[in-house]
Amino acid sequence: MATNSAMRDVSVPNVQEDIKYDFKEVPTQALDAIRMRLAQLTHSLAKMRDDMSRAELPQWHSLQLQVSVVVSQLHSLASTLRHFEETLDATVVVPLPNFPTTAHEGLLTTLLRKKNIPEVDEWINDAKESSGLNSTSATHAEIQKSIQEDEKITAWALDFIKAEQSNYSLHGLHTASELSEGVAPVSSVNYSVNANKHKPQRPFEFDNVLRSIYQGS
Amino acid sequence: MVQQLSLFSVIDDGSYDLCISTLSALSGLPPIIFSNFSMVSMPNQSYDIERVNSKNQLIEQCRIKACCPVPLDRLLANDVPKDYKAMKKLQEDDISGFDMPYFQNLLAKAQDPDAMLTDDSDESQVSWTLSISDIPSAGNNRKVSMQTITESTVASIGGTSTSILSFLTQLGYVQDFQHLTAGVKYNMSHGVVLELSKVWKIHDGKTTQITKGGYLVKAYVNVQKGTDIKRINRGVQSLCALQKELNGYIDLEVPDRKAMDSRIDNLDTL
Repeated sequence: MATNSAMRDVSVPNVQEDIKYDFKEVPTQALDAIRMRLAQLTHSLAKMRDDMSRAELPQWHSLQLQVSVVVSQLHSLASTLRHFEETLDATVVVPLPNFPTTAHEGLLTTLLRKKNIPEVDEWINDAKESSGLNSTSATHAEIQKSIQEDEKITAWALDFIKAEQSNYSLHGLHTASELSEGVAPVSSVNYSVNANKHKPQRPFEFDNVLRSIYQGS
Repeated sequence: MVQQLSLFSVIDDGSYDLCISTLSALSGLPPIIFSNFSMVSMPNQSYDIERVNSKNQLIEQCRIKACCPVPLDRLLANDVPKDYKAMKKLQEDDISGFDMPYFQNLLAKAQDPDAMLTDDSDESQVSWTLSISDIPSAGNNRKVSMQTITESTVASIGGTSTSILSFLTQLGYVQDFQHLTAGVKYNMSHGVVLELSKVWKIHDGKTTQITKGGYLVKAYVNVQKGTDIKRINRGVQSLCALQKELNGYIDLEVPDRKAMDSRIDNLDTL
């Protein structure tokens, strides 16, 4: 490669390569930050996909952990994008004149594509439909409100589950396969009320019982 | 002569399961199931019993408790597994397997603990324990209840009639009342025993539960000698440690000493 270009330099002086490009205007900081976030995200997603495609599924807790990592990476990506929103909006991407346009036409069109690919469009439409909002007529404020309500319900559900979980002591739990094999019968005994919220009552006075035991009265 | 240091409390039926789990975790041991039949007898009032001794000191008359273990089959149907959960079947006045003739037989049948029979269901092999308990020590600022108990096991009964009833009759005692106790106990650390029990009074061949809706909780330490101050102090410490540990869940308390007085209330007739 090096020799090739060297030879070319000598033989045909390329006009295009002589031009000094001014990279000062390129928002490297923003792009670098986004690139890093994206790299992390693609790495985690790829790992998750690999795990899921294995014959034996990973443990649920490790899967849950991965999902939470992906979610936090997504969140960090979104906040980075929001942070550099202005810069990125004002940036126009153009290929350099020395880009081998003919040889890598496919790559170029992919890189410069601004429209979503059909698959992504489908996802977005799907999400809009399942949100139950009419995206054409709904205003921004309405959408925000709906999202907030969603978050409220999620928060409430989480609190509720936590409270319920602390109300009961769950013991003697069995896996689905154990239950189907009949190892453990399904019974309500496994879910008893927790002591944290439950103090034993005193249905009688022990002095009276003792009197009855010692004196028969 | 045993010094029994004790603390009491009560829990309700609904808390039983969790209490068992808690105590099993606390003691590191599974519960031990027990059930006893007790017959308390008192001095025969038809005798003219001298109530002062030669120094003209008053002599208190005490009840004697005769106690023997009862197989759980006698309280529960056969198909019920005999584990701690079985106690939950015993919440009512009536006991499903209760059979008064069996208990009458226990009292009246000739006792022969030395018989080389191996049949467990034979009532003649039941070992009876007799105990007399004094009123717990007085004092306002006692941390635990301290009671002197004199206890003895009947090894064999001589004479023509060898039932426990005739034995007590010969001693000058007559039947006063009877009760049944069933429950679980835990051997906690430092010699502390924790009992959760249900108690039924037997009257006219019928059982009436006096711990209805709950369980009597008793934590106790037995110290062999009343003069062994060191061991008594250690026992008090152990009980207080347990009391502190269970504080907020099961509040162990010192009972009214008069409630644990088994003496006969006949001083006004003196």
